[in-house]
Amino acid sequence: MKTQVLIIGAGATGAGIIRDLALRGLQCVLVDKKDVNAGASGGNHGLLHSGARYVASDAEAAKECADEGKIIKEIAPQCVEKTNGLFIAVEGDDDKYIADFSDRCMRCGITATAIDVKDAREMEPNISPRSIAVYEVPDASVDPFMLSLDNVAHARQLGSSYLRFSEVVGFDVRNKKIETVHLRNAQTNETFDIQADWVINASGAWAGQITKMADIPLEVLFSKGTLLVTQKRLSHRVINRLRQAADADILVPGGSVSIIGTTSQRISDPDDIWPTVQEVDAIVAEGGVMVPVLESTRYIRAYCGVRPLISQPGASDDRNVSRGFALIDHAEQGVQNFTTITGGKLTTYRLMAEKTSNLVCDRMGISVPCKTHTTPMPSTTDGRWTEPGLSPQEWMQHNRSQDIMLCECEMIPKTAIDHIISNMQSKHGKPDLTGIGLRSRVGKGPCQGTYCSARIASHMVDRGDISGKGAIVQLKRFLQERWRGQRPLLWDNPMIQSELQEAIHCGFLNLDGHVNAGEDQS
Amino acid sequence: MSLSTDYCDVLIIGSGLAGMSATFFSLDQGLKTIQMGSSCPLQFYSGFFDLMGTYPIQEQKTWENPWDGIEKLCQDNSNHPYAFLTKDQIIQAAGNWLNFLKHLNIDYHYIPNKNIQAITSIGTRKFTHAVPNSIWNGINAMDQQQKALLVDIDGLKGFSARQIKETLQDIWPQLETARIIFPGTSGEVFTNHMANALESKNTQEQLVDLLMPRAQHVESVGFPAMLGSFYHNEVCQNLEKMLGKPVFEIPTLPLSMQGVRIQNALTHGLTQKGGQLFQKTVTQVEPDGKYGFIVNAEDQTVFAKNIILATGRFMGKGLIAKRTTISEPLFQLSVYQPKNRREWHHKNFFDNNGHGIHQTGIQIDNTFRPIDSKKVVYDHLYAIGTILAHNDWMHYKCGSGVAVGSAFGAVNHIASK
Repeated sequence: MKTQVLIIGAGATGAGIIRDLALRGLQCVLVDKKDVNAGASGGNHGLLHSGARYVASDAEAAKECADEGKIIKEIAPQCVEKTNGLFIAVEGDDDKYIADFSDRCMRCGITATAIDVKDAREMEPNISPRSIAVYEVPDASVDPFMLSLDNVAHARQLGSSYLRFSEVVGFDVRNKKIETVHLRNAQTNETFDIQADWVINASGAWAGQITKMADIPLEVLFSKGTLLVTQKRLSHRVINRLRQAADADILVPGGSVSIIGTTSQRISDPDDIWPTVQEVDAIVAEGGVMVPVLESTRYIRAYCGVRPLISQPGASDDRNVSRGFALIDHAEQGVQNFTTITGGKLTTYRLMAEKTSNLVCDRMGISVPCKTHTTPMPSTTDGRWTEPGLSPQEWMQHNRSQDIMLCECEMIPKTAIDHIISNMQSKHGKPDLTGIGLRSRVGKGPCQGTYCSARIASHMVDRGDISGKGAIVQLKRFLQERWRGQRPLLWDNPMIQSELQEAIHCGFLNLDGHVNAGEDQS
Repeated sequence: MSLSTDYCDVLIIGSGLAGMSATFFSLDQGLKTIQMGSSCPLQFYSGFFDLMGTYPIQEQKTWENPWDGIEKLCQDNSNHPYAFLTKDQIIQAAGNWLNFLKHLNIDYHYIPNKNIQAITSIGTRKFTHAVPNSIWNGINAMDQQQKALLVDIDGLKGFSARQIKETLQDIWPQLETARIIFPGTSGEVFTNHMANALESKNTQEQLVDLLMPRAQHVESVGFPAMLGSFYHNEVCQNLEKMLGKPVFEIPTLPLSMQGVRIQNALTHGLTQKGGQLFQKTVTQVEPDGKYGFIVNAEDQTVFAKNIILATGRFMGKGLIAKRTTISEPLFQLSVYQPKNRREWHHKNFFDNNGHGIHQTGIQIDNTFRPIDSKKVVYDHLYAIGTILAHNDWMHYKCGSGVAVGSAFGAVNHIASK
């Protein structure tokens, strides 16, 4: 396979780059060893920062966020909910930080309106009665999955391609150029090659592993952040704690749920990340100071992402060094057609893609300017089923009473699953249950996939997508992936739900057992 | 104020398999028996009667003979509920129970001292000891390598004949599949609706007409569990007569008709036997020097000489998990549990050690009375079934045996006093 530009990593940055280059007329291939947003792009709040969070620590980042936030709201309104945000200080918070906040926002071009505490509690009844200062800022929530899926879909419309489950395993470097990229299909283990004029490494936390294949050292440190999803939406607006950035001080609403986080913990392996009981308890306790209902509400899932940090000496808190991004032209290290982009934040993904594409086009001698800040992103069906609460509306509107509801918690009908599967088939690799989960709300409702996982697996066998034995492997994999996010949250109702899940999948279906041992294969 | 007051020898709290079997054993001993259950948990029952399937789970050792497994378990773990029963007691408990179900027209098939490999709704197999006859017919057809037809229904989710066929391919290559539209339906269908519809002769005939072309050259015909509700046996007999061959069922994901039938039959059968069964939630229990316990359940007060606690685990609300601890809400009994929440569950859902949470529960002495620091808490309080500590029924595949065995043990102790 030949292409002009090969982009490694289908997170927000890689997805942004393929669209940027495609709009400039280049033909590109995007590959990911897993799938869209499998790393940090899928493991964050889904917050489109107004920039107000960074006014004290990094004014430049704050301005970038302010500008980029406006652009994303313009070009991709389908991915954004213009919620606005509140910054809230509670009794005991740093007076000086509170006093300086408004001026600092103004200097960065961010409108921060002081709100009377009493009015704020009417606007957002769940905020702490011990609030002492409140500002409103233009924060918004963004659906990171829809954003990346729409970016990729637009690039595909423009002639580029995306390959799922395609892991880069090696480079052939000759004459100071990457001549051939070796890849492996993670589902079938088959290997294949791609020849590209240019290779962009947008693999986030895995950036160092990729450069190593070209004998280029790059030290990447990993900071894990954990977040919790509540079953109900707890606020209309984004709720931030008005203080120096710390743990569990942002609550972001998205569709019918809310997300509270995050934490910051240095880890050694980006492939081995688990939300832990300790983190969950810390988030619940700290978040509860700002929004007391977090102490008693029902949580449905925990998840985490890894912030890649390019090693910088002297930084005390990973949170404060992680926001900037690193764009590295590897020509100086002896490889002419190889660029790495890593770090940054979701809000500025487009700017990172623009700067990367500018560099690459410049070096390739292409002089077409960036168009992503003005060209609207078409709303595609790829991202349609990711938004919490959207499926029921669609279903009601179209009155699909003949359509069977495979996932009752999130109301995902059979036709939606069929659509998602055919979409996955067009992107290399076989349809899989976990991929369906990524592209929809399947398994994200209160039943945690107990019923819908088995139903969709059966449906996939009926369609001929997977074999009967493959269904067992897929079910086990899907349940394990869901389990990662359920395990630290099992008290009250989720414990009851998890008992039912285990009773069905182990007690009845014997998926823990070995009666079918030796027959399992995907 | 209470609207009614009752007296009884034994009050059973809980209406799952443990509560139902305790009610039966208690009535069988001639004791005045009341049962309070807040829901219908047996609807979630697959109908498989498990004694002991897998032990130790770390080695995933399965047992052809359940008694060998139970013996090994009791040698290793003197705290498992089975360790408080003799083999004869468990045999007697299981035998009496299955006889009672037979008397209620729910016929179980089993081979003494043997486990059988039952087929699940996704084609996996599971070691169990006894199954309802309609399920046995399918297992038998597989064992006999019969040419069989497995039918599934358009619009019935979570049940794919093709999936079961493909999963069982290596051991049952002669299994064929057919998908039909159930007479008079369109869109989504449910097994309980179809089961009720099939109790009419007319629907049975329509179904047989649909199947005849495909069923002619096979030796048996299988369905998801949907062959009738109250008149299951008659429905099976009629279909077998019209088709001229045996029919069988494979249980679906809950609610499975197997569980619904057992639930209905027991509610009826135990009432006929003189039991008083109420669907009420027990809200408060007070020990009473004279009569044992005073129990409030919604609008009713019961004076009970003995109480058997069969409230189950988290689903039955016999145990309540909070962020830091697990408690028993009715008597505030001491609950054996891991030190903290970190140890409740492993990282792997399918961890071969089983999760720490499955060791959690009420500890008892050999009379099935809850203990605290090795001392019996109340002389007249018993605990049975899945609420008991160390039972891990889901992974050992021993839930039915533990439920019925511990019910038998507790009632025997009450009767012997």
